Order: sequence, then C-alpha cells, then structure tokens
Amino acid sequence: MIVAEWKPIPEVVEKLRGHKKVLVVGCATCVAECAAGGEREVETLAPLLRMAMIKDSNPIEVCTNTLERQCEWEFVEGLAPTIMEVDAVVSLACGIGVQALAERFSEVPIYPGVNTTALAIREEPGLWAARCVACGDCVLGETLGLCPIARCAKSILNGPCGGTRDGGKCEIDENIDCIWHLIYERAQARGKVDALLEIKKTKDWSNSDHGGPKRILREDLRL
Amino acid sequence: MSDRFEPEILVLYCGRALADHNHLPEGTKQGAGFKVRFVMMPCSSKIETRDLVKLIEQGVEGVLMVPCLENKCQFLVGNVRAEKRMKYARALLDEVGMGADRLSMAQGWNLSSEELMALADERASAVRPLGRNPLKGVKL
Amino acid sequence: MSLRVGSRLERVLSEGHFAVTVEVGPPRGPNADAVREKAKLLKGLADAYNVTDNQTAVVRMSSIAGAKILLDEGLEPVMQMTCRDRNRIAIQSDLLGAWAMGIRNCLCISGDHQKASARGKLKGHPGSKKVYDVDSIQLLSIMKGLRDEAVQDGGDSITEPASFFIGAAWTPLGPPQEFRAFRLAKKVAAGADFIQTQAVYDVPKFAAQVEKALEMGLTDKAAILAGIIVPRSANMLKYMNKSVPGVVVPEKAIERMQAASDQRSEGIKITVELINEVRQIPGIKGVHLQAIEAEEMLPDIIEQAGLLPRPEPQQ
Repeated sequence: MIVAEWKPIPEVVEKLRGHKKVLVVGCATCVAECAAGGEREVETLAPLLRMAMIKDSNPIEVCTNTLERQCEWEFVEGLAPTIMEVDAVVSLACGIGVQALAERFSEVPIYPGVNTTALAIREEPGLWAARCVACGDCVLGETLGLCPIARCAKSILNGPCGGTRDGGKCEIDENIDCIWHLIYERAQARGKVDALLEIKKTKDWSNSDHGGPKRILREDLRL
Repeated sequence: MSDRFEPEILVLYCGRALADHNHLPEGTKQGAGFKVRFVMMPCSSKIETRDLVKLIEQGVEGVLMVPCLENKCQFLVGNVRAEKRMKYARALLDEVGMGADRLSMAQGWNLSSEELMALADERASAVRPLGRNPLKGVKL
Repeated sequence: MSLRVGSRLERVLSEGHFAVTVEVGPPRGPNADAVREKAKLLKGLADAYNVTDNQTAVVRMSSIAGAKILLDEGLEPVMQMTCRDRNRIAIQSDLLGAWAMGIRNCLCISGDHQKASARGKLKGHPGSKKVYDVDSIQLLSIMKGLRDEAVQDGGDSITEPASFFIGAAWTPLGPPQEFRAFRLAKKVAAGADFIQTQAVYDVPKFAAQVEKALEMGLTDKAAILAGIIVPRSANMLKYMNKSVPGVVVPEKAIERMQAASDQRSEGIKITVELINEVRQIPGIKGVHLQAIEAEEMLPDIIEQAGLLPRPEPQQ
C-alpha cells in the first residue's frame, strides 16, 4: 500500500489561517490501512483542527468526509455538492488523492494533511516498512523476492556493502535489516548462492521517476 | 470568578474496575467543587483516540479513564491498548496547544463508588489550574 | 607482469615490495595549505596517499582537488571516489578530469550514507537526496571500461583511454562473513587491481578470510593492502568495535590500551605490531594506514615498522 504520515498539525493550521469553513477529506483505501487518512483519522483530526484554530484565534468550521478512493474520478465527483460550501480542503489522502481533488476542484485550495512516504507493507501492528520504490525495472526475480532497491539504503545491486552491522543490520539504522544479508541467507537456504556471484550491471532507471514523469499509454484500453 | 469555576470531569471506567458490579455509578454527580459524569465502559479499549480528542473538543475540563488492572482485562490486552491510545491522544492535544493534562488515566480494581469519586476529585484538583476549557460552549 | 597504468603504487607492487599507503583526509574548508602541510609531513613515508571523498558524508574539500594538490607536492595520490553523490555521468566526467590532471590511482567505494553525516557533532546533510546510481562494483566495471576499452558505461567511446590503477575496499569481517570472499571475487572480476581493507585488529580472523581469498586465487589477481586505523585511546577502540561495521577489536587490545600510561605511544606500538603481523599473512602485499586527524603519528609508526625508506621502483 501507499503509506503516509500526518503532517505536524501546526503546519496544517498555518495553512488554514483566514479560512472560515474547511472540509477534511479522507480516503478509505491505502491511507486508511496505514492509519493516516481513513475515517478514523479524519474524525480525529477534525476536532483537533477546531481546537487548534480556536487556540490560534481563527475559529473555523470543520466538516468531514471520507471517500472510498480519493484517486478515482468517480469517487472524487461525490464531493462536488459539499465542496461548494467550503473555502478550503485538507486531504488526508496520498499525494495522488490530493492532486485528484486539486484537479477536479481547482478553484478551491486543497492542502495536504499528510506526507506520503513509501510503498510499504504492514510488518506488524503499528509498524510499516518500505517494500518498493517503483523503480520500473523489477529485480525481485534475481534477488529471491527481497528488494535491494527499496530495502538497501544505497540501493546496491551487488551487495552487501561494507556497512553491514553485526546481526545483519544496516549501517544507517540498527532497526533496519541489511537486505543483502537476508538475500544471502535465503540464497544459502535455497542453495542459490552461485546466483549472487554474477556481477549485476548498471541499472536502467529510466522507466521510473528518474526518466521524467511517468506516463503509461495502453491503446487497447482507450476509447 | 475563579472561585466559582467548577470543572466538569468525565470518568470513563471499565465496569470490571469496580467491586460491586450491581451498583455501578452512572450519570452526573455534584462533587466538592466540581461536576462529574460517570460512564461505564464494557472495556476501556472501546475508547478510541478520536473519542478522547472529541470529548475535550466538546468542552469537558478533564477526562479520567479508569481501566481495570493490566493483567485482569477480559480481552487480555484491552487496557494496554487503552493506555497507548491515551498516550497518543495526550500528545495530540499538546500539539494543538490544549495541553495533555486534560486527559489522564488511573488503573483501578475492586474500587468502591466512593473511591471512584475520590479519583474524580483528584482529577478535578489537577485540572482546576488549567482553567476553563476554552472550547466550552463554543458553537461551530 | 606488464603494467596497466604505471603508477608508482602499481610499480612498487609489481616489483614485489611491501607497499605502504596512507590516508590523507582533506580539510573541512577550501584551504589548500592545509593539504600541503599534510603533504610535507607525510612525503616519503608512503608509496601513495589516499584522499578521502567526503568520508562519513561530511562535506570536505573534494578528493579530486585534494589529490591534485598532493600531486603538485610530489606525492602520488589514490583518489577515493564514492557512489553516494554522483550519478554515472558525473562519475565518468570526474574520472576523465582526474586523469587529465595526472591522477592515476582511484579507489571505488560505495561511501557512507548521507544519514551518517549527522551521527557525530556535526549537522551534516542528512536531508540530502540520495544518488547511488551505481554501486561500487559497477563503478569498478566503469573504470575498467574507460581504461581497457575506452568506452563509457552507456556504450559511447571516449577519445582515448583513461587508465587508472583501480582500487576497491574489502570488509572481510563484515557479516555475512561467509560471503565476503565471494564479494571480493566480484570486485576483482569487475576490475580491481588493488584492495584496501577495513581496519584490522583481529589478525587471526583477518588472516582466515585472506586465506580464503588466497585459495580462490584472488591474491594473485589483486594486491591486498591490510587496512590499519591507528588507535589513539581505549575509548576509540571501544567505539570502533561497537560502532564501525566490520571492525572487530579483541578485548585484549582494548584492555592493553586501557592499562597503558601513555595511550598515544601505546597506539603507535600496537600499530607497529599489527603491521608486522599482517605482513606475515600470505597474500598480503602492503598496508593502508589511517591516522584519522592524527597524521603526525605516522612518521614514527612507519619508521618503527622498518618500512623506510620507501623503495624507488624502476621505469
């Protein structure tokens, strides 16, 4: 899922100064799963914003709504009647959802209430960890299903680097596994260490953000 | 005016925290210099962060959550969850400038109604210096 | 063996001398004299001088500039190049520029992640954007391509080869230890001519890893220089043991340092002993000495280890 985290509330409050009626919009998909922007979080943030704005001497009216998916036009359209009654929106969706609202309702200021931070999995309750960076050239077939692009701090293709700590942890954070350590262990368990001896050539990053804004065109699906 | 300020305290308690399950305190009571409303919860874990935040938004001066003892929860970890939510909600209130201290928690077991009232009294004394909840009576 | 590049370091090694390289950290400022001072202090003590590339991800004078200043002072530099800050375009461009200025040895390393820059007292730049376009093994391949085929990574040719004596780092005691010799093999296959290792304090453990490399035939293909960080205090040894990945300091060494009345001179003694010990390991062709922010300790160490004068290689 796409994971996001709340922005510091004062940062949102700063944006809302001068507004009178604000809509806080959640998304019931990824950001609900990662407890950042689902209905629960919308209903938590709304009272906090009301309180913060009163403390800030800028009382505002805050209403709420949570869309099934904020990144699909069909669902976004459902906001049309409400949006005319507010003068600003705080979106708790990922950057895609925020932009969908901003595109459909371009006359109303849309402020992000979260920072979108990763493509991650819920490893344990209350713990999410990156699994993918959308690099556009998947190597999971060669790395035994463990991603060295998303999960190695240096995105090394011929790891592990010299920074592996005791216990197989990363040099930058002792709570992060050295993914190459895990790849090695899995390779050993499967009798595939030989596959790690081959030198992986420089990667083509162009089918991702590095190649300019991504655009996918599928003629078979177009009208 | 400060002499007449009577903080409004909300006590959310786990029914299991009290000794006499047949006579659980309910509704609003007048304490010595404060008002208190008792609400019995089937388990303290029923209360989510948003509820705690909303209660303060609705104007009460102080909330006291009384879960049962840590290893006595009928759902095993309900009271542990409640404690973590309480901690998070307190941090959020701090972040918006309301101060964390309007929310608090005290574990209980085998409490009498009087003892619960005494806890509410303690709570009232603790929030009195914070003054009136600025959200009290605000219509939005 | 015909020489690939003919740098002094390569010639010393090819003639079978026990090589000495020394680390020179560039200053945290634009002061060329600071580099020249170190050059004066260290001239004649080593066969080549590593100029670090923003080690610990802290901004310092660039390794290219530092290497050029050393060169002008008559010292042969080993320019270090990390993969942290440059994409393959910048890396290759910098290599061409470095070669044009007369730099002939280059050490390829992945580099400390930018988050490491804020670990000490400095603020660093932990918020910087990550590059890591290529890894250290790919960087070795790139350098080999520029030298042996005069071709860039993307396939375009360059007008003439940029011929570097190519170095790589090795952390033999980093986990998973069973894989470290294999990773060294990858580096040698990718193009490494010489290897400088992570600091050695536990000689038997280190020797066991070198033995694996020897059995794999790697020590014939690339010259391994054992890395030694000059210890200045027991606290420094404790810190390295705990916090520097791949550095294993035996408890005995820490106790010995602790008991010393003059830890600094004990550090010199320990270093000299380490040099003598690693010298006995079959397959070790030299030492790489790092006296971090304490280069003035090096003359005594190299002298006492009997490594002076440095040989004058032929050609």
